[in-house]
Amino acid sequence: CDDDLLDKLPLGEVATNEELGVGGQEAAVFGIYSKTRTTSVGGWSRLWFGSIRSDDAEKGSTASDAAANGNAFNDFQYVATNGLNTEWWNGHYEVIFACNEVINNIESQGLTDEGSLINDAEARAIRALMYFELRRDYGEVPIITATIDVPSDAFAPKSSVADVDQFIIDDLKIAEENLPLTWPGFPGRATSGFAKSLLGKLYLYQEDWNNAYDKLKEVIDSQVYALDPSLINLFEKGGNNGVESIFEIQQTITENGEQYANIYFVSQGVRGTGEWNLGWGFNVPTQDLVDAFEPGDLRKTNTILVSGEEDGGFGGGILPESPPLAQKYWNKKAYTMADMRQEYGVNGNRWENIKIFRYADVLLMAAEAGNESGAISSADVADLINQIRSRAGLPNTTASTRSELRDAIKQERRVELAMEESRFYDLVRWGDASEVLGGLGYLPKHALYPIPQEAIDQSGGVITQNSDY
Amino acid sequence: QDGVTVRGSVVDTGGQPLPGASVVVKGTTTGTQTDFDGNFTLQNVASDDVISVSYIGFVTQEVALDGRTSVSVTMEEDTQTLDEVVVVGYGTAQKRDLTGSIVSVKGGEVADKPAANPVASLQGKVSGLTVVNTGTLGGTPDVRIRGTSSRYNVSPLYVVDGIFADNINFVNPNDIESIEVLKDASSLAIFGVRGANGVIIVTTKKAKNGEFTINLNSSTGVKRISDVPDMADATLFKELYNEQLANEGAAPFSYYDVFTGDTDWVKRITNKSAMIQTYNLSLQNATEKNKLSFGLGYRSEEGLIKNEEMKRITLNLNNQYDLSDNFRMGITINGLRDKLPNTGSYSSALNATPIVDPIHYDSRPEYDGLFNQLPTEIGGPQIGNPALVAEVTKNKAIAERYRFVGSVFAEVDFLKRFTFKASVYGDYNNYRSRSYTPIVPIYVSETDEIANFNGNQLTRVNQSSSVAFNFQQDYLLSYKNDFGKHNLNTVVGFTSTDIYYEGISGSVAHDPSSTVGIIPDDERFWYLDVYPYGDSSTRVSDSDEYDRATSSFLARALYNYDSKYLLNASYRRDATSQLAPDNRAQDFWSLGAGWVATQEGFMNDLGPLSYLKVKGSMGELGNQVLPGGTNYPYYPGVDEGATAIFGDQVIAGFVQRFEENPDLKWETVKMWELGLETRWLDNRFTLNANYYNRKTEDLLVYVNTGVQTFFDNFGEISNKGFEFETSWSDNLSDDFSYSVGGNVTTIDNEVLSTFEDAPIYANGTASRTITGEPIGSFYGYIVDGIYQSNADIASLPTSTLGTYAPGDFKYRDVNGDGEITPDDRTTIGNPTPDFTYGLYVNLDYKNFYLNLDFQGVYGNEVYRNWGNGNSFAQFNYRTDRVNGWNGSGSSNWEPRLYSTDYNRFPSTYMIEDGSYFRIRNVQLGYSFDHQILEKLKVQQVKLSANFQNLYTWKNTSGFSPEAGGSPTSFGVDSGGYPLPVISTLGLSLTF
Repeated sequence: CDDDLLDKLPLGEVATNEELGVGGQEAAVFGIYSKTRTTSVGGWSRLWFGSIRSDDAEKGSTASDAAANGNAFNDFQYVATNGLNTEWWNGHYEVIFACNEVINNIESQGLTDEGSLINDAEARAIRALMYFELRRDYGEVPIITATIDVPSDAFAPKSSVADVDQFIIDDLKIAEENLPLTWPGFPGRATSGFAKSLLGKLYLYQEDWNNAYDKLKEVIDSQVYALDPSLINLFEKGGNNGVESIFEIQQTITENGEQYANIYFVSQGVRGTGEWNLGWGFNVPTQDLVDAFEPGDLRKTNTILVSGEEDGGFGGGILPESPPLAQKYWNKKAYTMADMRQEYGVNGNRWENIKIFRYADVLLMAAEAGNESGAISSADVADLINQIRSRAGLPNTTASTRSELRDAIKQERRVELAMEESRFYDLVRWGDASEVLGGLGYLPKHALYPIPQEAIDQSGGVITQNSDY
Repeated sequence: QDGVTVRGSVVDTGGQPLPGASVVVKGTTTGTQTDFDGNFTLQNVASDDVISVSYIGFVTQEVALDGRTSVSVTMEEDTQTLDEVVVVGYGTAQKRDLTGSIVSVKGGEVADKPAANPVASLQGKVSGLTVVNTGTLGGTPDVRIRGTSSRYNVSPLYVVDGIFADNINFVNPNDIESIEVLKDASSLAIFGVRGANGVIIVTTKKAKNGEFTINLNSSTGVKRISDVPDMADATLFKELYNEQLANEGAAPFSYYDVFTGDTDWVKRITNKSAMIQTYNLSLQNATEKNKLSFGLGYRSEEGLIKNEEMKRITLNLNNQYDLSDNFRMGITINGLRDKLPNTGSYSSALNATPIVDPIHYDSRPEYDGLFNQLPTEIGGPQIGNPALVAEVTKNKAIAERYRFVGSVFAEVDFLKRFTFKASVYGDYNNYRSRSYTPIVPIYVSETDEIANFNGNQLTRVNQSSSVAFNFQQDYLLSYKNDFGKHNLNTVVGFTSTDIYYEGISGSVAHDPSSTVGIIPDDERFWYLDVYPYGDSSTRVSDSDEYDRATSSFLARALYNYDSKYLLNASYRRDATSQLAPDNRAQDFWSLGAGWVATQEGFMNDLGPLSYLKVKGSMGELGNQVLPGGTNYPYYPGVDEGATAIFGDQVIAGFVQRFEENPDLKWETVKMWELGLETRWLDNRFTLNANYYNRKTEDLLVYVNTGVQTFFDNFGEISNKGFEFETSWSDNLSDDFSYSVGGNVTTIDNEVLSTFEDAPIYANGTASRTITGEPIGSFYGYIVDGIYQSNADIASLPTSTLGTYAPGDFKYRDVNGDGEITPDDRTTIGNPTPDFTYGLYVNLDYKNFYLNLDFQGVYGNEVYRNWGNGNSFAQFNYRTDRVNGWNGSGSSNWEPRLYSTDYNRFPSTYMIEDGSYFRIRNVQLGYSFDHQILEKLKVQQVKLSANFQNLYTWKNTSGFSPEAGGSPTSFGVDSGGYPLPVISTLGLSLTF
């Protein structure tokens, strides 16, 4: 019939098969960054998997609140159908598929300009991070590199951990080559330092100590990063993309109140009423963690917020007692300056970035790799540890043998990275998990989580459950 | 001659005079017609003569004079007469010529019922039509014709005076002349891509020849809540909660001293005298050249929850002018103004703990009279206070709708047998709303402090406005001819539609640092530019818009030979802007055939059988469906939410919303039916039966793997079943007549295939759509009882679903692998009834009438999605929980009181029997005597009392056994809103 009548282009937005007016894959790459901010990847699933499972933190909130999730993570009663588990898995593959699209488009269009190569490297670095997190939680996972056109493209049998690792290494090698050292115009965008840090961390997980040390040393030698002298600033909005930042999930509230944030911090806020209704009160420090700090460690007051006590210079005054507050301790790294709450007219913290990699972690990983490989002297190892201790207001370590240094590094990682989703994975990696977490119900099989039932169902059995479940 | 003069009047069963009825002395040619007032005079009649009165659409009556000189004749409408004219797509046809299944409902059936939406009143009245009603004020019923044949859209197409519409909630039931429900391929193919879900055609009132009437009617009534679920009171709540905490080894709840209330929250938020009022004026005037019909209506209705009110004004105007014998023009307007209600829900009232008083009383004035917050541990953060929501926050919104649906047409007859009709339609729908977010102080007992409800610190104003404009034009050429015994009635036409929508919305908040303070709680200030309260830096705006068009060619032929052999054929080609240009148009067609056996000479003497028609039809129709919000499936847009942040920079990044698919097309539904229409015993008894079979192919699916999304055509759904309709009517005496009837529809739904045979889960419920099962079947574990002891646990297969202990559910090892795993989930219920049915009894005695309607469904399951507890908060208990397991042998069905998700997996524990039987409507009326009224220059005065949803026999524990929903997730009772019992009194005056 008359085609004019029926030619209706979308109103008020571009269609993807129109010319978008931007070069390369820049805009699509920005889309990838935004996907890392979604609740499923960047939100509170991180806490359940990374923090609540450890001896440093427990579920929090009130006893009945999310009791089932508490069982599933705090008490190691893993459930394949758990909703957080499904979100975590799907969220990661969603980012991976967005990355695939960019990488494959650049390849199929034969783009070799500098901008496209950087976009390719960004997609690879973020894809590597996703695979690293999946591999750490599930072990063997499917490697999907295709652009997804039909659902079957999204399913493949699981690959061995070694293959997944090699895939991550290949991506990161391209990424570190092509990513810039810094992004003056785009604070927080993926850099070569991020790719190298992640590569170093993967080598560390593989116990490939030499490669790990070399890669982390490159990050240190790049002179881009330093420890933030102010611990308060580090875990505040002021610390967003600061000197110590290597990679963060970016969050903000714009001037007109629009929020670009997920529930990562809100879920950890003090669960009170009125002005102390700062959030849902999950992921709270254990007494065990509180006791783990050496006397005089400045990090203690920056990690632990205590009911019934002053908030320590954040301007919020004295917290209510517990009870009525359901918890004695709260994660202070998720706590905010009272004047920020006032400024945004919002109680829950939605303006701080979520830290994925910071320089302190790189220093400690370098110390560990150097110590284990013997590539550097024990004095050099101690020096790396002491950089961290000095900021915390503590004297130099007295450790000197490899074994003493190993223990010193373990202690330092625990208190430096407390509540930052590192502890559980470190314990598993060191082989200490059964000893430390056994009393909480941990068994060796709990190093890996069961693959979500939904992923298995949807793949029609192409993906198989982990052997112990 | 010794003839007498006989005077008389002819009225219908409603007492309306029938002008133009033919009155003949039986066995003679003497006769006359009734005048405008339905009166007649016959002269020179023998006192023992019999007069015969006939009128199109009514059963011919014979009256023996027996010496009387004055007679009053009441004519029975004959809905089954051979000459009945029904509205079909793009015209009208005589029902006897049709091979399809069309059910006509007279406007009067819906006009005097309390529902604002006329389709709600069709529940149980039409075979094949399933209406699931909602009690929510202004709510839309879930309407499906002959089963569930699609994943996204199963609601029928509505055609109101020719224009296509998605609903008929803008039509005043009082303005409706007739409603036709079209169900089969032969009737529907003319609607092409819009036809597959069935069509409901609404024709508004038009003046009839020689008519001049004014009708005023009014009704007033009340709504009452019924079937309130049994929830724990304060004493029982404490008992159960204490037991639960003890079971968990937790400390007892320490704040009973400050929470000493005993509140029935459902009662607290219910409006005990929800009123409903309607006033209608209608006027019909027909002269030789001009037919005018005018209707004006006002309706106000309150909801069951406090402060829910809807007000509606409707206007209906229809005028047709005959410029000459062969040229006509006309105009129709349906207008509406709605003040829309702020509706709430009972969910949180069911969940809220009874131990809290709604209001706090205190000697400190600033604390006195505040709403109480629920305990932090028992729903404070999740529920707050249901009374506060019902009485304060819900009401901070004003929403209005204006809608005008109108058309003009011109029609010319030429060359004797041709008619050309051109019509232009417009549907203008304007919606406006303004709302306010207040700061409401709430008292927190545990800390003895005042907090802001919901933690809200900023007042905010939202304002929005939208306009949808739907433009449609039809050009139809029809040709009718009789060649001897061959009769042909054809139409060909071209039609196009264009639907344009634009909406804008915005919001602004106050500036907490400003000295002028909050935005006042006064609707005068609820505008985006509120000054000086609004903080301009917080002002945000947004818009939403689309434009889409279709263009179609259609043709239909109705042929019969001697009214014995019938053939119907239809064709339509639809092209749309929404699909790829190369794949834009699709063809749809149908063929139907019928045989009227009783017209055959050899069937002349069949005893009680008066009429028999055997018919069948088949065809291919379309379903133009897309999930809400998608207007350009061929041009996938980009997600604006995919915004990258770098520091404080906000950079619009985007990811494609879904993969494009140039091969995408609309769903096809292949359907056929076989049917019988029979009448017996001089047409007093009717029985119609149909077998229908519908198969949806190339289901349009939005595939979301959890990680990737796109549209495709894949999958098949089958719906088949039988429909029966029967009626019996008779006069026991001149004063007493009655009719009874009913209908039954069976529905056998099965999903034949899905995309890559992957199951489709509906978020947050147990509904699953999978090959080989009915659509939206409930999916979960089978509960075989309760673990009574550790020995019991040890002797049974191990469960990997989580931790469990004695008192928890014993899930069945369905696949027999010796372990309870997610693989043991299976289909545990079907939301589609085996059959639905309706019954009616109408009694007329002298001036009284009584109409009884019954309705029900049988054989479906309802998933109880309320009262199962919650992972994040302690909610109130269903009273049934008092039987919770508390030791070996104490219960084998109610699990122990323990906050674990282990007993909350979807399972047979949540499955309830959805069968119900309802006294849907009872109406008792009285018409004042015609003769008395004549002196008062009033034609008719009628009083009636109507009771809707009077009583329901049901097996579910929630408010209502009816739960509509989406095509793939329905029959899920989320505890939201009861179906009220509505009692009204009505008065109708006709001049």
